[in-house]
Amino acid sequence: MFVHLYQYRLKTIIRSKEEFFWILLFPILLGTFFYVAFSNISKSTENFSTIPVAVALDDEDTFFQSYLDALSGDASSILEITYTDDEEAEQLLKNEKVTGIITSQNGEVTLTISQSGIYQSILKEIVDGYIQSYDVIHSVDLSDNSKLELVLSKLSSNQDYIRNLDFTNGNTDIFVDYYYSLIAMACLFAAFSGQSCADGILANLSPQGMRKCLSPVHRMTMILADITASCTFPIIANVAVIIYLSYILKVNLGGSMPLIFATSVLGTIIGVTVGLCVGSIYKIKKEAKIGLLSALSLFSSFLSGLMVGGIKYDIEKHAPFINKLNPATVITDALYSLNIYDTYEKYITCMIILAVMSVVLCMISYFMIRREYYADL
Amino acid sequence: MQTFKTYFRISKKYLQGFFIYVPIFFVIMMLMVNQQTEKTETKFSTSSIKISIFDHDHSTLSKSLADYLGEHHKLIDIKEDMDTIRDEIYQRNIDYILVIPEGYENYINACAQSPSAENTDSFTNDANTTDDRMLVTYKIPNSRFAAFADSQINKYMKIYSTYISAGADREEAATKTISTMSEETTVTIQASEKEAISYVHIFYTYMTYILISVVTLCISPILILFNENKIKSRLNVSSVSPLKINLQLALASLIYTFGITLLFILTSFVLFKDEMVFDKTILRIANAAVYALICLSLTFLLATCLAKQNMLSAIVNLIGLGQSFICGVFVDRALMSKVVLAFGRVFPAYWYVNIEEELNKYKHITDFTDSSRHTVIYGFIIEILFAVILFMIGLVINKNKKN
Repeated sequence: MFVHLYQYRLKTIIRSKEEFFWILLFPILLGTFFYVAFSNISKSTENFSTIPVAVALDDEDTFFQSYLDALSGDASSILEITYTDDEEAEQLLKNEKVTGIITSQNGEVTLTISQSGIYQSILKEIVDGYIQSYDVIHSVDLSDNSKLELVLSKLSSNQDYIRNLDFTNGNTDIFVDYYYSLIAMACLFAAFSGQSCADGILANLSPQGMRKCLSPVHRMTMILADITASCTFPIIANVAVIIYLSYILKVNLGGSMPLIFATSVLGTIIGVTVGLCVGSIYKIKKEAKIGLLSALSLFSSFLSGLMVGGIKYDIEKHAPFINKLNPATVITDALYSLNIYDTYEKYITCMIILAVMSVVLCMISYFMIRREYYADL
Repeated sequence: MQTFKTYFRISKKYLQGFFIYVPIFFVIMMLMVNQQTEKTETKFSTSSIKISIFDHDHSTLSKSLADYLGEHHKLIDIKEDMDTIRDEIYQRNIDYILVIPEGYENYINACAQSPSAENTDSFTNDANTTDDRMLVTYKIPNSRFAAFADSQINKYMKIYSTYISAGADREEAATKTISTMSEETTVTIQASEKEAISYVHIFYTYMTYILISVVTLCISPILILFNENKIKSRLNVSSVSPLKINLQLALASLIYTFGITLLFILTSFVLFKDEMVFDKTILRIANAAVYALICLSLTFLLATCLAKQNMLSAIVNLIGLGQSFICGVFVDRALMSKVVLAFGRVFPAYWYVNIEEELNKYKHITDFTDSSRHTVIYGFIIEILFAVILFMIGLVINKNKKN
């Protein structure tokens, strides 16, 4: 009987176009839009790239020229230099072809830019470096020839005094947060499936419910078969969404794939149980339930950062308990922990919170559904 | 004008939806406008980033280095544990973390004071060295903010160790380094012609998303109702000719659409009265009106094809969100890849935003260059074509359905 009921419920879900759209197609399409919109942003707002600069020098200033040349030349250099005259340099700056103009006339070096910014500050650092080297030479007692050589060699060397350590092995692009929220949203959209499941069980909500109430099947078997089927499709759909994001769009979600899938499975179960719980409230109309569920899942995803990135970090500072109670944030936190940390403590905590939430929601819906009698329908 | 009147009588029933959508959209729009603020500047100011320093050395050198960085950047105290470091850097609360290991000053001094050749080599030029006596940093890989701090710290250390090599003692070297680092280039700002970000421009750009959603969601339920079989049959047996009925429906829809558009335009007048320039405003209104027409044609097409409101709102959501992402409404076009923008041409929002961007470039229409004029004219032509084509497709489908 279980298999029979399971099969039919699954068929109903797959044939319902709306559920198919919201649970599978909508997250895939929204993911594609995110990909299209965000794939270039980090590159143009955060990553370092060679700074184009126009240089107009006196003929005599070969020292300065060799100082600048040492910083340019290949693709990984700091500067990309265009040697030119004052007029053309100004034109280049005006057309935003270069970040700044470095000029040297009669030994005086100046920097011209069109606005303040990080690249302009780096340019200033570089030009300052030249002036400061002169200052060092002037303020050191150079009567000893070997000392002069030492100072010059020190000043002209490009030693690195810094050892850089990676703070994580995961993906450090903050835009990956949007994809986490998207996965959380897809999980919570499984609520529609849970709601239609409750609809099909309760006799006062649908003709199918009435028919089922009359059948001589144990309530528990019926409910379990329906819930299992309601979870099956969204789980498959959400795994498909993750596969689409990471293998077709090649978004680096960070962390190990099986654990990401596990998070999505538990997240989907949360979604279904939320739907089941809301669906079991028999005093609310079906349309209102759908409205309530879409509002709930979108608001929950909003708080986890679907529309405004980083909002959950602000909430964490002011009201951390909201983050612990909001299922979408817990799902994104689990995915974040997989990406950033090298231990699994925080991930396991998130998974336990999700498991407890779904058990509690399941119990609530069970108590609402069980032993329901109707005087008339 | 019975149909015309009925249209508005029905629309009253759906006004509830209108009153929910419009305020929500106004709030979203205002949030979006407020988010995009930019200051104009006349004086150069060096960028300041967020740095955390863990000083284990507590020496003259480490203190003077920390003071120097503190003077130029914002120092933030955090707990020194790896998970906190991970959280803070990932969340961009901190751009750069510097760890000064114990005995660093002694190590640097020893290197700088011994015979030159050997010791300069003791520093590798390789940032991946495993020498744990060196400064350690944590940062977002390949970040331009970190590159700035790297270059400052490297320069500071280079100057300090040069002074030590030249025979200065620790105190002297630290003081001299600070004084040398204060030598600065004169920086001049060449006033760029780029104007300050215009709120009107942002408002009208975001209107692409708002208009398509509001117009479609308000008008489609009415059209779907008129398309219902029973009502259609009743209308067909009436004495009024189908042409008249359709004309009345079209007129009512047009009035409703322009009413909604007018509401948004009036809002822009109220909010940004001082920023509005007469000739540009006329073009903006025209652009919004033509775009509203496209929205109406799309509504007509969708209401003809789909009988269910739920499916229709799903599709409208998709088109609205999709074109806003692809055509540069939500994300600045300068940050988007060219391939995506080229793909955006198939959506009406692309042409709407094109006109809007041209309008934003100049103070008055009279300043337009030839190419700007062409962009605007082409934009309008393509927008009108969109409206006509969508409407025609709707008509053809409608006709076939009847047959």
